[in-house]
Amino acid sequence: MTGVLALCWIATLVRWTLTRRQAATPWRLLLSATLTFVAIAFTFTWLDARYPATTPPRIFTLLFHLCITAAALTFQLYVAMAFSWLTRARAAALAGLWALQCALLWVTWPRWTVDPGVRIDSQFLPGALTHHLIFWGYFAVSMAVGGVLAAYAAFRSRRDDALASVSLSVLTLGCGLIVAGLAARVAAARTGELDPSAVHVIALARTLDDFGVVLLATGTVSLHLLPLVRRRHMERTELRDLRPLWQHVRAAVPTVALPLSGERDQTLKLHRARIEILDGMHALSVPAGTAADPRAIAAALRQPDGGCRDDEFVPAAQLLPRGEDRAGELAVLRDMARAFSQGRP
Amino acid sequence: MQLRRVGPKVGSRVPALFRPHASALRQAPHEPTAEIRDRSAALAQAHALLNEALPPSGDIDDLLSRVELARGRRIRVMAIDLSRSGVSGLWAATTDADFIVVEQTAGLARREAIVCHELAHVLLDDEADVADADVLVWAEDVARQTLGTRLAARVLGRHGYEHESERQAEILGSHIALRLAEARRAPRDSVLRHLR
Repeated sequence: MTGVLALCWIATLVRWTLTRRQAATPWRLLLSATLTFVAIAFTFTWLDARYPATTPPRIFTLLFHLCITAAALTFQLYVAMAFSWLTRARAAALAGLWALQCALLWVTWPRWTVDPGVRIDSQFLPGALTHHLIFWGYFAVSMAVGGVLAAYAAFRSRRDDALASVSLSVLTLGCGLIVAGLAARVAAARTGELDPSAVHVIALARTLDDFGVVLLATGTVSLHLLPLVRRRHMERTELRDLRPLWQHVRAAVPTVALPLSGERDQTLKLHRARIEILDGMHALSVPAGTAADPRAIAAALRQPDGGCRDDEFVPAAQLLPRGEDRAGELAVLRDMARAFSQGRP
Repeated sequence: MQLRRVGPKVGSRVPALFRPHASALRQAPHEPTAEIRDRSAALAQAHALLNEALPPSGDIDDLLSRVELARGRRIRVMAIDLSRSGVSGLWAATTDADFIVVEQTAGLARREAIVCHELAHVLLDDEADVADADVLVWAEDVARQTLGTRLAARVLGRHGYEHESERQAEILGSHIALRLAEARRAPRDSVLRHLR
């Protein structure tokens, strides 16, 4: 329990950090809010286990219920908003359902008697069935709907974005486990204390919940973290390849160099490296007989007279092969930069 | 001639806390003179316009079309031979349109960088710098020849960043190019684009 709680809070902090660094779209805010509500809800459960109330009402349990219903609402909105059929009126209806849920939770709140020193699970209390059906049932339906939509999105994105598809699949599996746990809780509440096997069902439900929440948190974080890590890695690698040629160009053609002292944004640096090298190729000259090949041009640029203007010299840009598209252009640039750094003493 | 901004006054849709990191775009801690305040206001207005006009396709031409609509002034991009000029691109503002001239040999990535730089001048409402007189004389000639009889009210060329206005335009241009690249990286699937 403590481990799951710690993981939930770590995942929540990572998610908010990612949300803050990237543009905070409503979807990102909603998903972060979902995870936050789950983490708070688990904190209340943890507190309830550590400091059980001796007299009703069990305030931590009540707060747990409220946070979980809020998590269900934000998760529903997050997944549903990605589909065009969710209008403002329908979003308002979902919010209304959440308010109704809170009201019903209060009305059906079981009049629990707490025997000091004895932990009585509310699942077995008489009169708790309606309450649990409303609470767990609503939550189960929310998670099931969210899980189905996430699975659909994972299926649609399996070719375009494999990483996102994997993350959404993990998210879906987490939803599935949570729904299974919730169904087990409802089943246990239905049979009540008359059936001794209900104790095992409750234990199973808790295990499913824990695994489900771990997968939900993992999928939620990895959905944004994995593409970011992959992009950062690719940018770092490309910047490392371009840096020697970039520095050479900045030194040889100061007019193309935009002052970047103290700049730490790697994406901006990479963009400047590409553009300044491309600009520099129009100012740097190579012998007219140089082959139109990135390696040959790189070798010519390394020569001491590279960069001089003369009748027998032409701008390097004239010889640089034109890529078929943007990616092709940048690939040529990278090939030339690699060849330039490989040939350096 | 002052450009008239007819676009809607728009603000960012997200709180400042969550706006993307752009340290290079922060203003230096100068004395808040009227000129700097105007410059800051122009930068803020340019960013607000970009937030609204940024196309999901991440295509520079789509962005220009949207900026055209927002500002109510035509923007035309022309590719001509600028190899002897010393500039890689220039912006010529006429009485009824803005012309962005790009070096005709520029590839896609460089063309985008040049157009973004000139678009930044347009958005920042920059004035021609008298220190670049030689280039400006040449550029005005080219602009007049290319644009016909219309007078080029002001001309700015992209050639080095010694001047503050050029530096700011290049920084804003880089920011625009990065925003476009981010839009292009977004998943093509509409559902996934939202979930991400």
